[in-house]
Order: sequence, then structure tokens, then C-alpha cells
Amino acid sequence: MISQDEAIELFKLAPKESFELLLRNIEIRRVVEKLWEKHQQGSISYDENFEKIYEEFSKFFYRPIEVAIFGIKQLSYLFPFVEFMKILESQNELWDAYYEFLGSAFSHLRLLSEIYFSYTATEPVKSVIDRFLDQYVDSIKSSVSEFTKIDLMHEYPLILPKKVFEDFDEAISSWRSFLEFFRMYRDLRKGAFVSAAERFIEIANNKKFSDLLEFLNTFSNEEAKEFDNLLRSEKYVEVQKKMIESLMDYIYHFRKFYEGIAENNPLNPFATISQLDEAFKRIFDLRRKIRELEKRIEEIERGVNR
Amino acid sequence: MISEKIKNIKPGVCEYEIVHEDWVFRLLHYKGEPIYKTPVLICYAFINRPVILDLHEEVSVIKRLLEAGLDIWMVDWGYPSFADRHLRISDYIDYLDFCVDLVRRERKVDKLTLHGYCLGSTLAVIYSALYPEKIKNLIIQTPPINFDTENTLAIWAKSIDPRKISKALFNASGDLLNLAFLLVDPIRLIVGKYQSLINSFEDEKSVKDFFFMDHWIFDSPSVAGDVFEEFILRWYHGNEVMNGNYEIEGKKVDISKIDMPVLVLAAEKDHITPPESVIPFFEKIPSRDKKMLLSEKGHIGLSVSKTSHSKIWPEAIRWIVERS
Repeated sequence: MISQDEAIELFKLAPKESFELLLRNIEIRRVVEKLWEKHQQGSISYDENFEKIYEEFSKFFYRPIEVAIFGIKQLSYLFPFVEFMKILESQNELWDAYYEFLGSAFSHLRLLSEIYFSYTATEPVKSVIDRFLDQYVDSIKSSVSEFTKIDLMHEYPLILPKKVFEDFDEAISSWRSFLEFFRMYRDLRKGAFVSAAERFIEIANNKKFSDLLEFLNTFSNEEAKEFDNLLRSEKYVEVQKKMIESLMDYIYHFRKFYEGIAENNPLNPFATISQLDEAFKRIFDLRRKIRELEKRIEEIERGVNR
Repeated sequence: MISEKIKNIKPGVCEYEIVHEDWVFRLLHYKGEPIYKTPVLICYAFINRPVILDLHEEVSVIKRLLEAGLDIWMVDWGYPSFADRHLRISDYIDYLDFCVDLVRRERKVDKLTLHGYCLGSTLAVIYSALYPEKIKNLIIQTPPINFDTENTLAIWAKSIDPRKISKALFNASGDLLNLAFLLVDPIRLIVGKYQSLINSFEDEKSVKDFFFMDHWIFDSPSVAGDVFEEFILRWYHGNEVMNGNYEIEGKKVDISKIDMPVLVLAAEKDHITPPESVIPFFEKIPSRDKKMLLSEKGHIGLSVSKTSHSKIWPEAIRWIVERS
């Protein structure tokens, strides 16, 4: 239906969402065509083809969850977790050893070349700038190595305020709660899909459709009716509410946890997003006061008394 | 090739100039040759973009209004960013008031016609109740004024706690809102609509129309966090505008002050703001010159369907022109 080259061109031109939904629907159409063939040959039953349709139909809606999981993956590399710290320390020791080895090899070669040069040539003349830079780089190197010799980093949980770990606990418990409601949410949706599919199978096995489109439309209509009922049901609304709330709690507390780490690092040169948010709030409050004053001045100029 | 057919798709046909900008908000003036004295100020919703009223040549409401000789202005609420999270609904009303005064001054008129679209209608109703002396005619299109309805979107909105969302995400992002709009009717919007597109791959016009619409649908601004909290809690949960307990900066919003001519444009198959979202309001306001036009289409079809352009808009424009 759409060639590989055209798909790339289409991705550039169409909204990202339209592009994704179109490709998913092309896949759905392929599967429906298989079902249509089976229907023409005899009867259909609930099989992997229906599972495939459900998978294509659902993936788009689970994006916020993917975003949340993707987010934690990204952040986990930016912030040190306890379990990572020991790995980092081991890596650090390995790097130190390797660095020392290279340093020794370099010194060895330099000494050799100096000896060689003293026999074969005069010492190269360095400019004042070059000599300064060599000296400065050496001094920086020695002070940096002093800093990195601290071996207590894996005890950092004791350095941070308790609130940071409370946010971490809240995030974990919200995530667990989210998973529980997400499973219920997924089951409700899957249940509705399967139930409508089974009804459609019953219709299809007792009727001959005139063409593929009639076959497809009947399937879509059965699914749409089932979802209309599900989405308004008390159970679904309650599960959806709890799922959204626990996902939001998870995002909020995880962010606060990371912000807590950043805010308690005296070397952190960046303001956290909550600190920026507070600043924007104050800017808006001030702006409203200015607007009020402007209105008052306008009224005074027009001679209006309050 | 489908990509060839959609190469030059860009919603929006009518030319406009930006008359004023205030951080994220803008006041636009559409270029035309007005013959009627009363300007029309369109107050668009703060969800999605106003270009739905000017999607393409064949279905541009703005073009029709301009061709009828009306002087068209538009408040564009822009794309709120993280920095705009603390905008409030009162800021929207304040900017609307600023625009109304600017247009009145510019055109040397005491009153103008205010045309609200979707949630922009709620703003237009609030504004008209607060400043009835500045509004000559009020037009509200697919308006949610009574939020106590039983459509799926309203049921969901009444069930969620928006404070948790704004605390976590700061703003209600366009992606999140889009997902909610699609989830309300997933089979028709995710499967049915795209299967129809596949059926009409060879029909250039259908493909173009489809992508014009999708460009608009997925061009979704975020809703500022504080605004999201307020409209979900006070409008959906509390139905405060209808119940008479909504106020802006201490000023009570009293819909019994809406006595100017009112035109309601509603859609029978609207699953976002069904006719029940406006009927109790329509019955309650004291205006003696009021009219409701009901399209057989849905929320968006009222703006972009050919049926609406042949049946509803000519009548709506006649109503506006007669009062301009």
C-alpha cells in the first residue's frame, strides 16, 4: 500500500500521529484481509489475527506509559543511584589504574626521547605561552586527582535530606499502584475487544458478506458499540481515574526525588524546574499587579473615580 | 503516491495582520473590505488552534464572514509553554477585555459582536455577563456552558483530579489532551477514520481533506496548568457558570445579564459539547432576541462540513449581518 521510500517521505509531511495511525491501520487492513479470506473459505474463530488487530489498535494509547518508562531510563544515567555508585567506583578505579599505566608509559617514552634528543638535537624552544599552558594543565591535573580520591560516595544516602527518600518511596509506591490499575485498565479494554470480536465472529459465521468493506465495517461497528458502553461504565471510569492519578503521583514524586538530589548538591549550577515554576508564579503575580495599576492610571486619566 | 497529494497542505487561507501581542496571546485582524459597522471579534478556545475556522478555501468560515462584508478580528490564545503555567482564566478575560476595548476604539463603536468557539464560548459568555454594555450580539458555537452533561468526555472530566496532572506535568500537554479526545471514541477515530482513508487513497481530494483535518487535530497547544485546574474543577465539577457561583476577580458572573441578541450554533452529533451543554443556558438567559441553529453534524463538522456550509452558515451569517 505504501512503499518503504514513500513511508519516509510521508513521515516528513504528515503529522507524526497521523503517520503512526496510518501505518498501524495498513497493518490492521492486512490482517482483516486474511480474516476475510478465511471467512470466504468457511468460518473464522478468535485467533492470532484478532490479537494482532488488538495490538495495533492499543499501542498508540499506551504511549504515556512508554514516555514515563523512557523518562526514568534517561534520568537514571544522569543521577547516581546507590547500586550504580559501586559500579562507578569500580570503574573509576579501573580508569585510574589505566590512566596511571598510560602515564607511566608516556613518561617512559618521554624520558627515552629526551635522552635520545640530548644526543641528537638541541632542546626545542617553547614559547612563553606554551610553557605557561603546560604548567597550568599540570597544576589542574594534580588538583583534580586530589578531588577524585574521595572514597565515600556510595554512602551518599546519608548526605541527602530525608524528604528526598520520602519522595523516592512515594514514587515507588505510586508506580506499584499504577501498575495494578494499569493491568485492570488493560484487562477491561482487552475484555471489551474480545467480547465484541466474538460477537462479530458469530455474525460472520452465520452470514455471507458482499465484500471486504462490509466485513470490515461490521467488525468496526461491533467493536465501537462495545467500547461506547465500556468507556461510560462506572468500573472503567474509576479504574481510569486511579490509573491516571497514580501515574501522575509517580511522575511528581520521582521528579521531586531528582530535584532533591540536585538541590542538595552545593556544586549544582542549575535551578530545578520547581524553582523556575515558583519564579514564573511570582512573575505572573507581579504582572497582574502592574496591569491593575495600568488600569487605575487609565481611569484616573479619564477622570473616573472609584 | 499519497505523499505527492499532501505536499502543500497548510491549513489557513485568509490573510491577517497581528494587531497586538501580549506574551503568548495575540489579536489578529483579517484583511477584507467590511461594509458593516459592527466588528466581529472571534474568541477561540484555549484548546486546539483557531485555523479550524479557516481550514481551506472550500470550508473557511472566516472567508464566508469576510465575503459577507463583516469586519473580522480574532483572539489567538497561542501555545502556552512551561513559563505560562500560572496563567489563569481571569487573565484570558482580562486580555479579551483589552481586545474588545482596542477594537471598539479602532472602529469607533460602543459595542461589537462577540463570537465564541467551544471553550471560547464559555469565555465569551462570562465576558458578556461581566460587560454586557460592550457586547451588541453574542454568538456561541458548540458552546459548553452547562457542564452537567452525560457525554463520555464530561463523565471523564468530572472524574479526574486536575491538580494531580498539573502538579506532575505543569501544563496539560496537547498530546495528553489529544489522547483523551481519541480515547473517547477509539474505534471510530483510530480505526474507522484511517480505514476510510485507506479506501480513498486514489481520491486526491479526500486524501487532502483528511490531512488538512489531521494537521489541525494534532497541532495542539498545551493548556496552562492553572487554567486546566480551574476549568475542570470549577466548570466541569462545579458547573459554576450555570449555577451562578462563578466569579472573576471578585466580580460575580451573572448570566441573567445576558440580554443582548444571542445566536447559538450547536451540533446534534457533538460528542464533546452536545446540545445539552447549551440548552439550559439558552432557556435561562433573558435575551428576547435569541436563536439556536442545530447542525446535523458533529463538533468539528459544524465548521468544516459542506452540509453546514450550505445550510447553517448562510443562515448564521444572515443573522449576524442583520444585526451589524
